[in-house]
Amino acid sequence: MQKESSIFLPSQVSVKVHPVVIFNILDHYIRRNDNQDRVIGTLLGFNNDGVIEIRNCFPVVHSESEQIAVEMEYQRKMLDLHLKSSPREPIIGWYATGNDINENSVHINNYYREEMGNITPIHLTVDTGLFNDTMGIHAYQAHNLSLTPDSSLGSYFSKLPLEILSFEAENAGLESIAQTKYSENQQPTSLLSELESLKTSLTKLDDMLDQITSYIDAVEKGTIQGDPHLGRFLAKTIQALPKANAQVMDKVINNSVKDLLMIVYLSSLTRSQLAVAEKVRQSLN
Amino acid sequence: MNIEEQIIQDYSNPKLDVVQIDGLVVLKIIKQCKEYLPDLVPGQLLGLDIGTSLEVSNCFPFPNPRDQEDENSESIAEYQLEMMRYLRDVNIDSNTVGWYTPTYLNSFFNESVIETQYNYQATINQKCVVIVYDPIKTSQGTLSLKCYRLTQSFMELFKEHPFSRERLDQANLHFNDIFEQIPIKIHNSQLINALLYEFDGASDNLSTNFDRLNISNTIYLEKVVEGMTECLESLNQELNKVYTTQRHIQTQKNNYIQQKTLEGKKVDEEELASMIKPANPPSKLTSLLLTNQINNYCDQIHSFSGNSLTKLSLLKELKK
Repeated sequence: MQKESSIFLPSQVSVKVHPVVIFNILDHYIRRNDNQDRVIGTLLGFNNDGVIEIRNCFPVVHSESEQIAVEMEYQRKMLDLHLKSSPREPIIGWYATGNDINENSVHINNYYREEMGNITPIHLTVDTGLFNDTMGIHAYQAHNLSLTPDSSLGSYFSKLPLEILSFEAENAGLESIAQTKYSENQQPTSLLSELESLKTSLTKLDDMLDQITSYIDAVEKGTIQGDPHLGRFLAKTIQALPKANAQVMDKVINNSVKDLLMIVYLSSLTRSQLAVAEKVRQSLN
Repeated sequence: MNIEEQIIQDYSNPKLDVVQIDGLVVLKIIKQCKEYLPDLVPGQLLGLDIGTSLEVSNCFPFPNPRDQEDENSESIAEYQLEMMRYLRDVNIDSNTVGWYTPTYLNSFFNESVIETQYNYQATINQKCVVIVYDPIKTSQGTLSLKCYRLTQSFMELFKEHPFSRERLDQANLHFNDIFEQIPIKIHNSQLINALLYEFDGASDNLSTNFDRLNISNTIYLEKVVEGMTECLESLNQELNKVYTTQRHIQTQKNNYIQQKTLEGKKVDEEELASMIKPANPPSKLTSLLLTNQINNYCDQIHSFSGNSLTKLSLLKELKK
């Protein structure tokens, strides 16, 4: 067995998780079998110079009643299928639900290390029991504890810094699906229209402006100590604003309005043409 | 009524009011489409149909044809079957309820989509749907997901081969009668709601989106107008084709009548009708689809311009 990285070396690894992975894990947990305390699965992603990005995952069948059994055959098969559709996402580790790492976790970790060709797997835990009122999403990497190079006293799971990472489109998606948390009685909600989402964005912007104004007021009055970083950042933001001449701005806005109106006019014209064609056809039949 | 009767009744009832999608599916579609760009790779939707609604609870992508040169349709079918079998082992609904496909600017009203969708609706379940996702629109800050299926009347029409012009004429189909749009609802489990609350508290940039404050996205508008122009041009070509065919028929007729008159025989109407066989009459379906597509572009322009105008007038007020 290859030696695991020593615990004395500071860990340079950080983990980034896409929201879809956590969603998948929670969905798997909801669909678990009767009498099953926790679920496990494989994490897919890549290691980019110490920044590990977890892009995807899939569930794996296992049982831990008297002895643990992980269906490695199932795991390999699923991995093959996933590699077929996304070849650039190799296996990177494994996940489990629950807030602790127990003896079985060590064994499962060893299985995964063998599967991955002796690369130390990343272990992600999601606490579905909501202890401490949080989801408790943590990433770990196992380290070997030993006195001599050949012996092993046990494993030590060190926590890695973890960040939820999402790109533009995912943000938009997350925002739309987040509407369900405001709905009563778990009723499904419909998608936001553009106008509604614009409104939420503007409200948020307004809130942020209010917040910063009150902060600046407070600093001016001397009730709180100003933060130089924040001040510099604000100055930068204000500098980034283009200096707009009122007349030029007016012109720009008016031009855009005219352009838009013309396009709307043209498309309405097209539409009425279509309608006329349709009527002609119907009357001919 | 016992549950089996209920299932059979649900299965044979073609009515579909709403499609309920799990948040997980939305995120998965977004992720997979992002990965494959610029290729548009479709995938399969899994779930259940209950009464007049359809629940989509999971999905998986098809392999990208570009990555596997030797792939054929058989191995894709095998991939689907295997994937579904393994997903069933972890209690995921292994029941096909349709498919999803990414698209640019909603330009998906074409014959291959119709054929695929027809196969789903005819062989698997009448309630099968296609979910269309627009990555460009979504990157502007508003999720663009639409759900369609073929209308019953079009299904009836398409069922009987050959799909001829006469039968389309008889059916008197409006271009809006090919696809029907089905409203989408989003559903999340309690645990996922809890996670969303946690995201809310954790960091601001996960939940806010200022991309959509962009005042006038002229590039987007330009692309839509471009697409529409292309469509109009193709429609024009179709019309020209019809015109050429008509003229061709007319010349044939005239030649025939001339010949008969020269021979001093009476013109036999039946013989005339049997003689004239237009070579490859243009498909009426193409023009119907093009019309549908143009109509769709118009809708997009209207909704986009409406929003931009709102934003512009807001800005004008702000400036004062």
